[in-house]
Amino acid sequence: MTETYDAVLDRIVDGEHATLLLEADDRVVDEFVIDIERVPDPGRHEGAVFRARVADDSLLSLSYRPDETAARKEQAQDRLDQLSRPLSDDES
Amino acid sequence: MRRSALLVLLSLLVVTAGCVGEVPLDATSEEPEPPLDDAVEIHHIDVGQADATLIIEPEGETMLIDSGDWRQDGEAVIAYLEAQDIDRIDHLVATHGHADHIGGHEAVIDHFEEEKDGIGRAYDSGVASTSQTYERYLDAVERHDVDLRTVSNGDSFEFGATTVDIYNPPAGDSGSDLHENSVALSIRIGETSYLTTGDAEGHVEERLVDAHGEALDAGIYQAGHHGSSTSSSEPFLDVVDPEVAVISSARESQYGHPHDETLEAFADRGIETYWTGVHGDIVVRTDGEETTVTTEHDGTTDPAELLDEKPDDETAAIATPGTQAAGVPIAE
Repeated sequence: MTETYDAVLDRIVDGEHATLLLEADDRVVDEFVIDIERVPDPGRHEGAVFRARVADDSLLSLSYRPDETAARKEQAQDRLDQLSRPLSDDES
Repeated sequence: MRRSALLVLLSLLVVTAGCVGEVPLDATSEEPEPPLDDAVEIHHIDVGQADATLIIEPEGETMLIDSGDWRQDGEAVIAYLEAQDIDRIDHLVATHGHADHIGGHEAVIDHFEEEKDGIGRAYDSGVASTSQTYERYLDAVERHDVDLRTVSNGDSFEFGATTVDIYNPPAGDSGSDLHENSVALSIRIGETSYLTTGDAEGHVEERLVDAHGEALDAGIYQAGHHGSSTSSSEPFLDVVDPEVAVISSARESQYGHPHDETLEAFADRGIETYWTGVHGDIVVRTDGEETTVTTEHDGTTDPAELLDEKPDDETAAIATPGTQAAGVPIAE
């Protein structure tokens, strides 16, 4: 049985391994480490978001979602910027 | 050894100053720092292929640098902190947003804010990640109104009887790469230091060497990026010149960490080396003068012998559940 997930390329390790986090219900539910060469080229970067098809604990396919990637990056960075301030801003 | 070399150098400086007559004779700032009244404890918690380090300084202030992998969801870290009777995390550092470093942040913040005495202040590299793990960390920061600060090179703060110097990320715009912006910090403990660089890689190390040189000298060094050969470069090790190195990675690391090159470089330099994959939890205690190490499991600290503790090539890369080996492209 095939299931579909959102997947985020959390990190590229040693330039060789792509560590993908699979999400369901706003949580990370599984992780796949695959050769970076197997990741579709335009999405071969940290933070890229994909639709992933999975069957029997195997990753069948990844399709890159550039718009979702850009939207999430902007949203996450904006949120961090809002919730934080530089340490050097002190000490007033 | 190092101290006597320093004293010789100081004597030379004083003699030189006397001759020239223009350099102030007062060389007190160059005198060795006295040891602390009690030891700083640096607990490298065994969290598998991830990082989590608890530091307790003599006045009782605490720091947690990273919180393990998302799969553990903070459980191992919280259990360890409970066993150490930690009621409050004064300083919670996220070196960078990867899920093997901030995997327990949400749970740790919730736990200490809801059931203990809270989080004093949290520190971030300033570069967000797109993962749900990272978003949930920010959720917890917002939920509990945690004082979250971004840090950069040149920042410094007091940590009880010690001082923390931030060396990375660089000040100013430094792009959005997470390893490039990984927090690197040094804790000054009397005459020695503890240096940790998160997952900073070779060119960050190069920048640190150019900017800080001998100031990076540290008796205790947590090997960058889980002992990967992307880090612990030769020029960096030349200036850091550690006596003790600690590697945080799983024995059956799906990435082959620590890499042979790193262990070989440590062996060439005679660095006493500890690896969570072999030694389990590793506690370094130092008052700035004497350093001792205790470990959960016995094991060699000779990096050349640690090479033999690595599983055979290839098996580790395939054996981890949920991990796939190389194959055909899977693009649609």
